[in-house]
Formats: sequence, structure tokens, C-alpha cells
Amino acid sequence: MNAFDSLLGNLLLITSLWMVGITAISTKLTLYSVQTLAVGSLATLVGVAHHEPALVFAGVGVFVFKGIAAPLYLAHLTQAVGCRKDIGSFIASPLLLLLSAAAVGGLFLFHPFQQSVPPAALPSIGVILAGMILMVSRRLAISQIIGFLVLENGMFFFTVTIPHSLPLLVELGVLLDIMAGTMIAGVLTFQISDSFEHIDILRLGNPRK
Amino acid sequence: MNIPQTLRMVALCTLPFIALIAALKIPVAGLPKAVARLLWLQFVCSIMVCLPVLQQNGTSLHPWPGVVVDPTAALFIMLTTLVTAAITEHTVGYFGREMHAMTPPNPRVVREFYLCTIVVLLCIYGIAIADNLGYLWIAVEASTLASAPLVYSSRSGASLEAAWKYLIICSVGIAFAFFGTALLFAASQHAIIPDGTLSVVGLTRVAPHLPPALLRFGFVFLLLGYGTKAGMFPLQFWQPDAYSQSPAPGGAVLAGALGNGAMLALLRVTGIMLAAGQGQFVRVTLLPMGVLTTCIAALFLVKQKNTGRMLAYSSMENVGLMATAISLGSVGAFCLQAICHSLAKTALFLLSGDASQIYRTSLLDRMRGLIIISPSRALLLLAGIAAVAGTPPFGSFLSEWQILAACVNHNEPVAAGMLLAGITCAFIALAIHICGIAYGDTPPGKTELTDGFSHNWRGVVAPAILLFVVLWLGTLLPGIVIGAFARLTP
Repeated sequence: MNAFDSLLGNLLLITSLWMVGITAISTKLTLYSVQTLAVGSLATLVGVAHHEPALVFAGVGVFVFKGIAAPLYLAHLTQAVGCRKDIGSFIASPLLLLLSAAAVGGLFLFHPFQQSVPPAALPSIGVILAGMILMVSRRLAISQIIGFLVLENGMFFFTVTIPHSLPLLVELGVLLDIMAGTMIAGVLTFQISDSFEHIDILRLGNPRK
Repeated sequence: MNIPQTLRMVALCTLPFIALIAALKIPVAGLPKAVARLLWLQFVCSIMVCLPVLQQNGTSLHPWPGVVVDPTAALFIMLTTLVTAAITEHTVGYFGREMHAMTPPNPRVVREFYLCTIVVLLCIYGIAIADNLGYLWIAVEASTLASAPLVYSSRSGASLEAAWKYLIICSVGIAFAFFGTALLFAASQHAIIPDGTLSVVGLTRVAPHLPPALLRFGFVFLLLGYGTKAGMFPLQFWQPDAYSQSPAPGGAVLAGALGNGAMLALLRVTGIMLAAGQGQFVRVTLLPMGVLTTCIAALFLVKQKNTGRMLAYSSMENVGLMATAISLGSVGAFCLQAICHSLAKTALFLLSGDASQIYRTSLLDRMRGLIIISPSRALLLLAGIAAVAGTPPFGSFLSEWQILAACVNHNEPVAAGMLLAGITCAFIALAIHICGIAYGDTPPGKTELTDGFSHNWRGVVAPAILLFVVLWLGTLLPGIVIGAFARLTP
């Protein structure tokens, strides 16, 4: 793993943890977009440097669809359903940020999967963890979609750091599935907003009509 | 490229695409009959393509790189086609009656149902024939996305909640499976393939050279991912809601067709682990999950009040048995269990859908005396429960017996004991619930079927065909069935 990969891995991790600590949806979307554009660029650069066309295509696909199109779609969704903040549930966001940072710090310090996982995969696991925390700690449907996309970014970053990229068809298929999943989740969010007049997942069960 | 094999594959996949176009273009009134006919034709086509592969001296098809139709794939292709054909056949009457109900469904929902069902069928084909863990993952995720609208068919608040839960939990689970896939790909780069491979056959061949620690780590993620999709304990939370909120034919698609997809993916992955000599690790991880899934589901079955949820927990119980068979490397028992469960569960969903239409409720305690109102449906419902619970002479008895024998042979008496307790408990609970529907006093004013039922034979024939196949598998000489299934490989 070279220094550039490492730097981007840490950037990814920091933006993911930052998202755990904030409540504003628009800021969260901006951070998600920044980290996705970064990981897409990294994949493209690594693909060009290692002569791996599959990674180049995947990187460009992630940059365009996940880094630009998905955040724009989600921003439109946020505006349409009229939600600005997600205060989360159970634990206040700043405290959750500290706990998450401690968990990720522990992951790097003790490296519990030392026998199984190369050090290059640690930032990916950290991002996956942050994505999971984002999903379970937030109440709004849109936050859960963002958490899922962050989690998926961590997995894509792992595929970039391994010596050879996944086959092109697999990379494109995965991208297509993720984008289709985001679209369907978005449509369901619209429906939830329409039926319940809110998109709070914990308060589903009492529809308006 | 092998031209004859490619042509056979093209023949296999053409009709579902024609059905897909039909589902988009044909007016809703004629859609159920048209799709049902096309899928029955597809079933004949699948037999012609897949049966030669299943024969004793048959060879697997390798039409394109990354695609293999081996005997296991051939079996699941035929099974899923039969199940979807029977479901669409049944919907001719089901949707016909729904259209004349007080609140008829939106024609768009009916069209959506057929579109999703055909896409799910194609996804299961994809899962069965994928010789690449990446393609496998794509097909499993695509099947989740395609089936989410089935859960949301009734457009109610509860169905919306169930669809959201289904989509998010399964997508996160399958994302874990992607991480596991990437870990296995990374592991293959440590072996004798420097560029790495995702081919199931390739990975199985080099399995002894794969780094065990990375392999195990990858398997755990794959197990979490596909286990979530399969509805294994403790990752099953989406399943009861999704099954109970779908309309009966939608539940049948989820349980009968889609349910096998994730288990088949798990079978392929476990094959690589077993080839790598990680059988003990598989047994430590997958076996307890399988046994607990069966036992917990059996306990939940006791207190159910809704037919959809009852059938969901019954599916979970069967998934536990299938997982146990996979963990012990008993591929034949897994396949037989999966086939019998799919057929019987589909029949049960279709029949329970009819019962819900008769009584206008899906609550178990409000359905009584079906044997007076519709004796054929009541008898088939009783036969269906016997089949799904593994009662002789149905084929599921053979598979459950084999799974219990495999536990004993692998020196797992605790697992065998727990499974036996779980199966018994599930049988008693199901028998009580279904006997409650079949017998007892009919609700006031409900002594005979309405016109929609009395002139329609389709609602009985489709489940009857499915249950007959389960019975046929059990009443053939057990040696033939067990011998044929013993030849199957992961």
C-alpha cells in the first residue's frame, strides 16, 4: 500500500467519522460526495498506473454515478420531503462520534484481524464500521441510505487496495445494483413521506391514510 | 465458445424475456393467462435443456466464461420455473377475484407483480448458473431489488414499513457478502493465480493453497451476507413482515422461488471452504446458526396469529435445516429439502391466499371450517402442512431423515437432538394452526364459496400439482431419490 492510498484511506475514514458526528443532512451529503469523488479518483489513478482498464472504468463510474448523480438525487429527495436534520436516536451525535472514533482507534491499535486481513484493509473496515454506525444510529430514511452508501464506499476502497482489480463486469454490475438500490430506496422514501408525513423509520406504523 | 451449448442457453433464457415484454405490453385483463402459458412453456423448455445435465452420464454446460449449468444448477432452474409457472397459473383466479372485490387492486400493481416475478426468475437462473462469485453477488442483490415491490404491493403503511425493512436489511447483508467476495478474491491472489479469480470452479481447484485466515474471514462475511438474505437466525427480522405483507402470490414468490437463491449462494461458497479443508470451521460457524434457526423458528411458530407470519417462520425453520445440511457437506439432502420446501411452501401460500379471500382476513383465529366451505382446499392445506413439516410419505421426510443422519454420522448428537426437538415442535404448532382453519364451525354467513371460486378450478390445480411432486419424490423408491441426489456437488 503506497502513501497516496494510505492518505486517501485516512481521508475516507475521517469523513465517515465526521458524518457520524453531524446532524445536518446537506453537510452529510457533501461529505459523502467528497469521499466518493476521492475514492473514484483513486480507483481511476490506480487503474491507469497498473494498466487495469476494469479499475479505470469502475473508478469513472463511481465518480460520475455515486459521487455526483447519487448525491444530487438524494439532495433533491431531501428537499422534496423537507427534512434538514437527523438528530438520531439513543445517543447524542457528538458522544457517538467520540465512541466511534474510539472504536476505530482500537481497531488500528489492536488490529484484531491481524492474521486474516492485510493492513491495507484496515481503513476499509473502519469506513464499513462508520457506515454501519450511521445506519443504526439515525432515524430518517435518507440517513440510512447515506449510511449504506458510505458502507459500500468502504468495500469499494478495499477492492482498490488489493493488488489486482475485480473483473470489469463484476465492478459494473455492482455499481448498477448499488445505483438501482439507491433509486428504489429513494422511491420508498417518497412513499413513506407521502403516507406518514415524515420519514422517521422508528415511527412507522401509523400511516396518514 | 461452444455453439450447441450456447444455443441451449439461449433457448433457456428466451421465453422469460418474451414473458417480460408480454408483462409490459399486454393489457392487464389478459396478462395473468398469457404469462402463465408462457411460463408453463418455459418449464417444458427448462426440462429439455436441464434434464440431460441431470442424467447419470450428463455433462455440465459451459456456454460462456463464468457460466456453468451443473446438475445442482439444472435442478434449481427446473424447480424455480415450475414454482413460478404454478404461481402465475394460480393468479389467474386470484387476481380475477381481487378485481371483483370491494377494493380492487390498481392494475399497475398487477402488472408490477408479473414483471417482478419474471425478473426474480431470471435472477434465480443467474444465481444457479453463476460460476463467478461476483456474478453470483450481482444476481442475489438484483433479486432483492426486484422483489421489494412485491412486498409493497398492497400499498399500505405496514407494507411500506416491511418493504423498507426488507430492502435495507437485505442490502446491508448483501453488502457484507460483497466484502466477503472481495476477501476471497484477495485470497486467490495469494495462491497460484497471481491475477486472482472469482470462479467457483477455479477457487475450488486452488482452495488448498488459499491462505486459511483470509479465507475464514471472507467466509464469515459471506455467511453474514447470504445468511441475512436467507433469513437465518439472528438476521431474520425482515422475513416475517415481508412475507405477511406481500399478497399471497407475492409471498409464494419470496418463499418458493427467491428463498433458495441465498442458500444456493451459501452452498457454492461452502463448497470452496470444504475443498480448502475448512470443514471444521464451517461446522463451527454454520451448523449452530442452522440448528438455532430451526429451533427459534419452531418456538415462534407456536404463538403465531397470522397466516403470512406463520408461513414465514415455517420457511425459517426449513432454512435452518438446509443450512445444517450445507454445513455437514450433505448436498443431496440440502437439494431435496430445498425442492420439497419450495414446492410445498408455494402451495401453502397459494392456498392460504384463497382462504384469506374466502374469510376476508389473514388472522388464524377467524378462519374456521374450511373443510365445509371448500373441502378440496382444506384437504390440500392439510397435505401441504404435512409436506412442509416432513411427514411421510412426502419427500421432505427423506431429506429431514438424511439431515438428522448426517448430524449423527458427523458426531453431532446435540445438533441432531435440537433439530429433532425443533422439527417436532414446528410440526405440532403448524398442525394445530392448520387444523384450526380446516375444522371447526364456519363463521356466520360463510357456508359456501362465492362465484369467483366455484367456477374456477385453477386455484386448486396449481397447488395440487406442486404437492403431487413432493409426494412423488417421497413415494418413489427412496434409494432412487437418495442415489440421484447423492451425485450432486456444491
